Amino acid sequence: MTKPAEIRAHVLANLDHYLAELEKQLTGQGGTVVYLRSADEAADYIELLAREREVRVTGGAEGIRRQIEQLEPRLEDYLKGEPCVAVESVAIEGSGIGLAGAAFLIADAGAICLAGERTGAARPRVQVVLAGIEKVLPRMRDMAVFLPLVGGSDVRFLTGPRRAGELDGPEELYLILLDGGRSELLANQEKRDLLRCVRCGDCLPGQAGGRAVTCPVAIDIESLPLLLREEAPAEVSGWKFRLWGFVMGRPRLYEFAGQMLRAFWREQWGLPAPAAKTFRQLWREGKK
Amino acid sequence: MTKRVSLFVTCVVDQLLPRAGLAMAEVLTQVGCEVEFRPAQTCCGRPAYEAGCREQAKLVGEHFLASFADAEFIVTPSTSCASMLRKRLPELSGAAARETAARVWEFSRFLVEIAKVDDVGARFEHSVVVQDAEGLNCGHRLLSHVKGLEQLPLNDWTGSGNLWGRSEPVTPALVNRIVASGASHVIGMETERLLLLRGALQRGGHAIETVHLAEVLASR
Amino acid sequence: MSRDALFESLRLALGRKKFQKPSTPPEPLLLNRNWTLEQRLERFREAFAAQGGMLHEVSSAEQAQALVAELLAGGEAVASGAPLLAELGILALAGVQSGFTDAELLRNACRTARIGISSCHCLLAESGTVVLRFTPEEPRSIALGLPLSLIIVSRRKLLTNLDELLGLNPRSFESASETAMVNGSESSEIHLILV
Ligand code: SF4
Repeated sequence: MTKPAEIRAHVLANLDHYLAELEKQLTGQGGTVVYLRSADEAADYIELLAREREVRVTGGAEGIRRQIEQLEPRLEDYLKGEPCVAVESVAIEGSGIGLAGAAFLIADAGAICLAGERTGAARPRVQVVLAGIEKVLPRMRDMAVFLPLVGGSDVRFLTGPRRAGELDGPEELYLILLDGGRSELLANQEKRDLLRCVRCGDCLPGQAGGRAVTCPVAIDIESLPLLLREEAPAEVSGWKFRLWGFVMGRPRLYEFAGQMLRAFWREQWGLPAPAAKTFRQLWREGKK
Repeated sequence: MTKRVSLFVTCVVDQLLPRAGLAMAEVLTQVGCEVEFRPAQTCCGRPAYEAGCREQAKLVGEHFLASFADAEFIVTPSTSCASMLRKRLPELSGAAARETAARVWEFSRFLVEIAKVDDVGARFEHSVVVQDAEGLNCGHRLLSHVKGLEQLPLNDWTGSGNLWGRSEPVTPALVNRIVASGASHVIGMETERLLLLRGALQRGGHAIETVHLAEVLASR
Repeated sequence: MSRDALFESLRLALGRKKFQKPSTPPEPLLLNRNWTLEQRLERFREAFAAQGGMLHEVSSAEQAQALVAELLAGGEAVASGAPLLAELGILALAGVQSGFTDAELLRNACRTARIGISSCHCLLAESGTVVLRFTPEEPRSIALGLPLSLIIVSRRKLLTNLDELLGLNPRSFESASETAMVNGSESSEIHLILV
């Protein structure tokens, strides 16, 4: 395994420990850490916060939810390459509340790493950062191997709200840790490794462009499509594939099924018509 | 020394694209291989594997292993089926599968890496767009030696049919781009995608033909 | 979702007990290049310029003052409370406002000034990065909030790379509320004076 893969695997195996350390450290530095289940919950939370701070929110909770999904898309959606606008930092109405998505969280420093192009552009009074619970790393020195993977010309490490004596910077800093199905991924032996992803984007469509891609955290990219499939309802596909397996294990039955396919084929299926004769028929004829 | 090749045409080619299978046999014979077809073969098990039904995939995979136990080279026209057999089947069926699986070759790679031919002496006088295959595939190399072939650019069209979400789906926009390119033929490296495209082109009433790499290499 | 419920489900998924310590995490390898100052300078010049930054190198306080005056061109600037700026006599230049202790006054000054003068925490040669650490002396709005950021720093602050910074004192990050690592900027011009 590569070094980044080793570190990510270690974090995931001890995720509760590192989240607790991060929380303790960041809280000690004046930040507020919140755990929420979904983008919906986060949107509600932020809307309430905005109302308390008397900041007007243009799109309402629905608008916030959309922004959240762009800033911190579900890991599965991200890896499927579903389009998400690259926004690093957006302000909700003026510079009242700013929303950003974290690239990494660093436990020992209680730090939030934002990485992008114009990360620090908005200067809100209340800074809210969204992060999936998997984004934590043990120590600041891990950034030596992880920061180069994500890059960005404007990288920020937020280690709390403004301190005594400071003349600017956010007065409040909220870190919203989103579960969003991640704890279930973690419980799934086969899929846990997906959470190692650091969203470098190398394997995404458009980026890959036909060249071979190696994932920096050793995720088996070839298996991604399988791992990312929504679970098929077990019973339905179960009997279908049992029947299919039965047929495919028996060449004569398979040949017969092929003939049936020809007899009953319908244009509506959206597939071209089966060839008049199968390969094996043509082969037999050719050999005679 | 003559290489003994056993065709694994895949269920898709058997049922839907038999011409690609015949063309493959022709090219392999042409380059001096002894070609056989074992009628016991059916499918590689990939549909079940990709749907998450490992048990059934294993069952069908084992039927494949039994059918090809003593074959010297197993050559198939599908990159995805080749990778299913080489990589996934050993995961399902263990070490026993590995040995047979290692003898599975995707058609274009077999030509270039085992038969060691780049130029099969083909002539195909058409303007074409070529589907890129993800994963190891030597199709482009073989096509570069085909005489009379004019390859038209088709911007950022990549991907095969095997990976959801990572390859460009067969959308109306893709069909439009193909039509706009002015090509008379689409050459596919990957049987399934070729099939999807053929369906989409036929439904749209376009007269563009879809052919498998093997058919191009077999034409004179 | 309550925090405890989440932690409970994580521990369940991982088979861990409450307060169970993890094994030692794998160590990232820090790349130690041992470049001489000259090598670092050379690399930094290249990398910084490639990102559209303007680098000026001076060897005395007088030269620094002359350069700043030239950039000011009679306009207004706000300066941070970095000790180096006072030492070099920058704060005494005409048109330079400094010594802010009130947030409101600072905001107003930033509204009219074109140039923000500050120092920085360090520079990273390999990537051409400017590392800024925001403190009461170094406010964000002066360092990166104006159309032209003028950063004045000693050559001694030129490190090789991120690895060196992290190796020196990785825990220095908590000492301030924010650290920025900037590689060029789309929204403003960055001038750097190396003393
Ligand atoms: S290459 Fe690996 S780390 Fe990068 S986005 Fe893909 S899965 Fe994630």
